[in-house]
Amino acid sequence: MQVTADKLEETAERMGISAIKYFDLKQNRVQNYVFSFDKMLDPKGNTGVYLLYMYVRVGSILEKSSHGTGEALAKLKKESEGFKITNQSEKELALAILRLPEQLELAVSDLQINRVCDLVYEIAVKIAEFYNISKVVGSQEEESRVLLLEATKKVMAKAFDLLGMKTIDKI
Amino acid sequence: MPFGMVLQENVTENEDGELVKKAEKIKTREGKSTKLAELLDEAKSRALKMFDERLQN
Repeated sequence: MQVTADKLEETAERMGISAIKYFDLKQNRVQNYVFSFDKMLDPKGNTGVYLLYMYVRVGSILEKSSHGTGEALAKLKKESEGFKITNQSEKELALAILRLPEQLELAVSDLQINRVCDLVYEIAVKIAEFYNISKVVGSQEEESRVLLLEATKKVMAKAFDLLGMKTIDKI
Repeated sequence: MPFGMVLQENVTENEDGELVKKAEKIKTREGKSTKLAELLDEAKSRALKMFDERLQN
């Protein structure tokens, strides 16, 4: 999960600039905007750095699973009957990622791009809860949970792309 | 103060010597405002600093 020395510069630039974009876009246009470097680049809380961290974490779980990447994942997607909800943390994460289309429509109709930011933050919080409760690698539900995390990663990547943020693989 | 304004956080010392954070208007003529190029450089260097600190621990 940790970034290697040769990628430090590039990762720092992608992360730093993405964090600024996120901080800017998460503002509600009818409230004052308080500029603060510390808040922009805080690794905790509702910040771009935290979101990218959670994104990397999801990728790292997928990498650890024998079904999580490459051909094995493609095979799983093709042959699986889909994922099954077995606990509350899975349910809440699934519900959160399903809300992207709805939040996008609202962002457009209300001219509030911060809705997309709020959703990605909510997804990140749900990932953290999922991570605490639901074991993936080696569990009985491994295949099903891999599918859920793969979907989560895709939704996050789409939202980051819409916000002009670049993703990273290691942090 | 009207809403929708861009403010910056300034830390000042009060009479008792305590540091007080205050959100104030950004005044470009005072030269204290941050330029975009500086902002992007600062973001990168802070991210690098975070990695450095982690490597040391």
